[in-house]
Amino acid sequence: MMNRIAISILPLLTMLIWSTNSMAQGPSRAEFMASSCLVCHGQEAKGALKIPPLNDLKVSDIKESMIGFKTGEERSTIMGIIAKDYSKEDIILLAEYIAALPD
Amino acid sequence: MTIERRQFIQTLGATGLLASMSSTLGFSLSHAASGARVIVIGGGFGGTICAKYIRKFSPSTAVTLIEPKKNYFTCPGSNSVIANLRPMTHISHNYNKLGAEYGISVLHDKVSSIDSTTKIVTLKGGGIHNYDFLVLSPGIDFKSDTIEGYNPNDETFPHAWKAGEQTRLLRDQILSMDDGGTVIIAPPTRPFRAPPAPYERASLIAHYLSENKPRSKIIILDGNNDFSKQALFIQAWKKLYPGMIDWVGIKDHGGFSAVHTPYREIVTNSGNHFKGQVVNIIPPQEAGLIAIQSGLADDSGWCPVKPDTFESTIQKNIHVIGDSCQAGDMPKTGHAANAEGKICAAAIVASITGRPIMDITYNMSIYSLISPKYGISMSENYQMIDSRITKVSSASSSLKAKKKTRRKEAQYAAGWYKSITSDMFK
Ligand SMILES: Cc1cc2nc3c(=O)[nH]c(=O)nc-3n(C[C@H](O)[C@H](O)[C@H](O)COP(=O)(O)OP(=O)(O)OC[C@H]3O[C@@H](n4cnc5c(N)ncnc54)[C@H](O)[C@@H]3O)c2cc1C
Ligand code: HEC
Repeated sequence: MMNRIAISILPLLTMLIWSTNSMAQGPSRAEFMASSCLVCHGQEAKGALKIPPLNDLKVSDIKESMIGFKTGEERSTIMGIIAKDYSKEDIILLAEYIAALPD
Repeated sequence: MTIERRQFIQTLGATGLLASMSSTLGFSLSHAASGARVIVIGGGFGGTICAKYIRKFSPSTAVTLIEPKKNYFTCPGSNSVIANLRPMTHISHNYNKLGAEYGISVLHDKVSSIDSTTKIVTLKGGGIHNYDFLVLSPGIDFKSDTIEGYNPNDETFPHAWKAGEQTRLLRDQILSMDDGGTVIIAPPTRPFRAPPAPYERASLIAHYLSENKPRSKIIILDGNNDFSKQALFIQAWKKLYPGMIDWVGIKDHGGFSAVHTPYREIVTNSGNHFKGQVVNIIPPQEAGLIAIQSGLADDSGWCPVKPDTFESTIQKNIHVIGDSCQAGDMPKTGHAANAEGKICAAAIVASITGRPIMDITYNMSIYSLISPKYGISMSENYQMIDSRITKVSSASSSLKAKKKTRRKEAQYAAGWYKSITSDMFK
């Protein structure tokens, strides 16, 4: 008896959990990846002391820099290694997310 | 919450059905109604980040952060305090914003026990708290009885490997040392917290001594036969502090047979006696005591976890991050704890929402200062390969870098500190 009720209400309960969680979606891939950049580039990528801000750059600037760092064409102290293992798709996601942060 | 949903919950609640059904699904009543409850133990580099990012990623999840200290002193930056380059206030932070701006309930208390069956955490102050997910980031504790005659709590030989009062003690000993005195720094055999930090400490103390007590010496009695960024450190020591720092690897001193605190002396298995006016033994380490007491560590003294979620492989719904966990190729650093805090936060939110875990590349970088104007760095990327956090690339500052680049990296080190502590506390 108990079981039957539980089963018949189960879809409702699932809906309940899902709708509660509409406020709790979790991060996008871009936000998740970009959270690691903030460790140096500061909150909202506003920069910190001599580490440059990123939030005032255009999508294409960030993309070009990251690809430049990755290939070694753009000189750097540390970004060469940080950019190295991101795919082109992930670089685009990162660039779009970071460029959209408030200036 | 919409009216319908509230009514629905009330109806279910009234009939007592929600509770029984939700328990079959592994959800508690409040979990389904108002979001899951997460408790984070330890407000350091891993814990603050995990707590804050769970709130960012999932505002309906209730997060409690338990940390005994009202002021947290960071280990990063503490070597600059020991060398009298920065005041203690530079490395002090508080938890006000985590409560006020992120809605984390911060309890300044100490967890005394964890019951993983009933999912209850008991505090020293007597409080009892239920959780759906528990995260531990308790840092390190010191193994006892590893060196005869040495006790990590003896303030004669401050370790300064947890920042705060210990940092102040070591700084004061350095400041009151005579010109011509010897400082001994003794790092343990790996793994230990912050692999390059003993050598940064030696460098910055050398900076202080060369300006203030130039006849003094530093001896590093290492528990290892090589060390992090070794070529870069040795090159810089030759240039900036010629003849001041002697490094002795364990194959040459053979390990310590005894420590004679009253004589400020270390006796090695090779039969040598090393005397120092200041003796800084960095004790062998293991996971934070609460993790060990809760049965979360294995024989190594560190906690095994699933690499994609940091959930303990020993106990369900308990995650261990930061220095206490075994994170594959990732070393025990604040930057690693930060990355682990975010991965764990995203994994817990994914578990609450039933979404898949994201697989990304992540990075750990560590700056070290050799002088206030001479910085070097090491940076590594990791990916999940064969269910293990695997280093896929790494690089250090170039041995050929110019003075200007070293100066820039010292400035970047300060920027990193500012950013990572804002990520934690602001
Ligand atoms: C000299 C030195 C220099 C360093 N420099 C760097 C650097 O430049 N870059 C870098 O990335 N890393 C550096 N590190 C390493 C870094 O400090 C650690 O890796 C980092 O603190 C680990 O974070 P954690 O969260 O695991 O532990 P911690 O930051 O130590 O936090 C643990 C917290 O848990 C609390 N706690 C413990 N037990 C309980 C309990 N039972 N109940 C409640 N709370 C509890 C403690 O009070 C503490 O605040 C350095 C370390 C040292 C010693
Ligand atoms: C360890 C610190 C650190 C981390 C982490 C980091 N950066 Fe950087 N970033 C720097 C530094 C330092 C520079 C200056 C160039 C150099 O010397 O490497 C820089 C420069 C840049 C620039 C060029 C800015 C300009 O104005 O020319 C871009 C773009 C950039 N970073 C993007 C990122 C992204 C995206 C991430 C995350 C995936 C990231 N960074 C993570 C330290 C960091």
